[in-house]
Amino acid sequence: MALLLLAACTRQQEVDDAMATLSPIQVLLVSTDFGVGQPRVSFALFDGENAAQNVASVALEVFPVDEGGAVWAGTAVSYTDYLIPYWVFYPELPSAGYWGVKTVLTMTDGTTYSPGFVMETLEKTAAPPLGAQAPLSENKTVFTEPDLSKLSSGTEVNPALYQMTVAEAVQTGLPTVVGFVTPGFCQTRWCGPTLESVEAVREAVGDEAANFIHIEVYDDFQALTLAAPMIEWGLTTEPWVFILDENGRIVARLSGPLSPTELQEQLAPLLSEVG
Amino acid sequence: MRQIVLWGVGSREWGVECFTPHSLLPTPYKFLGLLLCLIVVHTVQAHSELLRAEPGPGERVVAPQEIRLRFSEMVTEETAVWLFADGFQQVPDVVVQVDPVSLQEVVASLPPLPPGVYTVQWTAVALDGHGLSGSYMFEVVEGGGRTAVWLGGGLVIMLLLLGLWQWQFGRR
Repeated sequence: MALLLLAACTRQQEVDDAMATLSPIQVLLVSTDFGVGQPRVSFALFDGENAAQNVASVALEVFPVDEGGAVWAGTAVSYTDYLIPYWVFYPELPSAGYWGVKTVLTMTDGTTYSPGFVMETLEKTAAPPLGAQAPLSENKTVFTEPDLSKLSSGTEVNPALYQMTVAEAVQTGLPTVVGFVTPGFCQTRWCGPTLESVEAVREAVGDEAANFIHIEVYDDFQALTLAAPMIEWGLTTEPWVFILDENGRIVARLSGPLSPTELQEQLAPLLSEVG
Repeated sequence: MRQIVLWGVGSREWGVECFTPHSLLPTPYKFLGLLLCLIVVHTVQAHSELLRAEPGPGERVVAPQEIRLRFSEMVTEETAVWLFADGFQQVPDVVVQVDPVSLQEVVASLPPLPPGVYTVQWTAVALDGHGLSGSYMFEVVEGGGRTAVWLGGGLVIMLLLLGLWQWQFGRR
């Protein structure tokens, strides 16, 4: 009987072990348009319909799909000051193609899960790459369009974000934050709060240290025609936030959810350079 | 009116989350809030989130023949599902079809799958062009594996009960 009991317990342990490695957690890829090099990749973790709680750390390994060996290993950084908590990592991806990302989630109670996901890198991204000169857009401002309701689809329009064009901003010698967001039309947790993050960082940093520009995604809120800058920048998704250095070169390209902390971290090196 | 937060048009959550102060309204006005929500929803874009999956995240199944995904939004033909075996080996011959009636359900027909852990990768493209990608894992097990565990466990319990009965009987 003891042997039978032992055998049954062993079998149950095997099942438990298998269950332990099988993750109930969904990974949602929340950024897009990844280029070769070191793209910013952001993802959210969901347990059922809710954001996964109690994830203490995330380690990652990246593999070429169908080919084997890991090409990169590292960890992701968590940002919790956004409507949904999300994680960001910057893998080094040497070529265009599909990449399998194996994660190891360590929960606060020590449990580990290992969900994976697949992402694609492009030789040529749709949006301008890092280091490129930003398109010198002549976006709408309060001077060209005094009616604030036509500058943003949002309900509370802050005129401070419509004081200059991108073309003018790069002449100021300051870094510039350009946000392509449509607050009135995309209000889900994946995109809605991004403009609030831009406004929060502007308040923290001030207009003396950097330029902050919101470009509404749509030119016309009835026909929903894309604004000219969206086409100039090659954007097919939103939201996007770009950070330009004092020469107008793109130093950060941030798609999808963006927390104030992450935006401020990305902007900080430029502020110290200017300061 | 406070900012409306949409989790996804048509999702089961929207009645609760669509119009945040809605739940605070007295009952007679809730319908009004709901109506207002519907009007606003009509013009608001949303991402299509995964509401239900079969097999679901973390599930262990025997010989699945399809993956069925239910999204919060109607999706386009651009919606895709891929399946990867251990080591990110793509499983070939996965045929994906969007349910032509509801447009919210996507079925991926599967070839026979050997036991192992699989990663489902999906990209849902809503009618307004908004996309969202996600992934989850499930495991394919040998048929009868779980049954064997239950039978083994049941046998052990029966033997324990038998032993207990014998012990009680022996004391008398």
